[in-house]
Amino acid sequence: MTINTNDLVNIIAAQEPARRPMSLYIAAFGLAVLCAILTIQILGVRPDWPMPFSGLVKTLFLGAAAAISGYMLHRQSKPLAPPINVLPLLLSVPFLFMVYLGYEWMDFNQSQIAAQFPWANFFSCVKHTFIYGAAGIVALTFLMRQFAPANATAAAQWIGLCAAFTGGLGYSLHCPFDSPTFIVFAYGLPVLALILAARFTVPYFIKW
Amino acid sequence: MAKTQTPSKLELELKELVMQTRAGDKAAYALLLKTVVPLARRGAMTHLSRFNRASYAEDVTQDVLLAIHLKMHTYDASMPFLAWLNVVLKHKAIDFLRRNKVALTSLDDFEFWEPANEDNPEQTVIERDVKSLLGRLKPPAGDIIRDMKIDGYSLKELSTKYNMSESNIKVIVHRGLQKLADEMQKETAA
Repeated sequence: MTINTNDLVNIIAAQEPARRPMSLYIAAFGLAVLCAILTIQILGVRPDWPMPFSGLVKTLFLGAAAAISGYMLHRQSKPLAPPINVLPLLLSVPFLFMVYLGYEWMDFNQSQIAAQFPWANFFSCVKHTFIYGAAGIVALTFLMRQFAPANATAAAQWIGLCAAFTGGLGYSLHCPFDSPTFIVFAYGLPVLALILAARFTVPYFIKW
Repeated sequence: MAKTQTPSKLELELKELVMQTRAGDKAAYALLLKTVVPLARRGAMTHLSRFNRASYAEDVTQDVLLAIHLKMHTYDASMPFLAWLNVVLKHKAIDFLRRNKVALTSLDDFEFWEPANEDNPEQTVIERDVKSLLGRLKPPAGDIIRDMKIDGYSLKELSTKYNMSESNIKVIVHRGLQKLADEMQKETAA
């Protein structure tokens, strides 16, 4: 120890405490908008624009997942968050999606579902969601460094999840395939990969 | 209707200083830091002494002060300030121990530290004994009673935190306190 605590207090007290940075929730929203703009400018909107009802449902699911993960990221950014039961919120989107998926499997046979699963689009979806998500992870990590997550690993996982869903949401404006089964794999795989990538790389950078 | 626990005088004082600091009052900020120093020092000594590192309490105290300066914007005004400070202190103490390669058996081994009651030093000893007694109750009764009676959580907050109805919480607190009273009577008789 090279400085006296009283001297440190005097030095710190002479300055203002660090200002509140941009909210992670707003940053996540900004990422989604940016991904949407990039998609429209570079890839173009989906060929069947304006999107049919199934496309709207897909966008809503991805949007809800992005919003919820953005909210959880916001909660994770503090050492102490208000005690709220978040379980209903966290389970709502997966539950509704499972109902949607079940509806597809009850209404269509396997070959009809397989026809909604073109491999070229599948790989394009995985690639672009992953690229958007990876860039989102970098951006959110830089921002999270200004906060104080009580649990760096949990915060890293939520960064991965949030970045992945905002990237997927942006890309969904280009992707014309709305089958729930397609969504599970084409968006689910990059989401999973990004959560794992964030979980094992980000904690080091957001320790405080 | 059950009464909500009122925050302690120290908690109210600190919260007021934080609000004034956020409004740009530098004098309030200086007073806040000076008030926090003995609390942080005592808490750091409590945590570090369990690992024979009490001599480094001043280092951890300074880490806490820096964390307050850099991260005070993460304090949510709807929560008790002392609880926020406690989490920051715990975080810095664990960080210090890890940096110095001290083995931590479990993060759950870090008990909550309560600041000493400056007006009544005997209260500190009493609160320590109460904590030890609460540990004898079947979980989560001890945690619920500590949250309500020491940390000042309301019935509604406890109901959300433990995912139980308010009447259930009241029953658990009542039975827990009854059991503690019985145990203390037995000890006195012995």
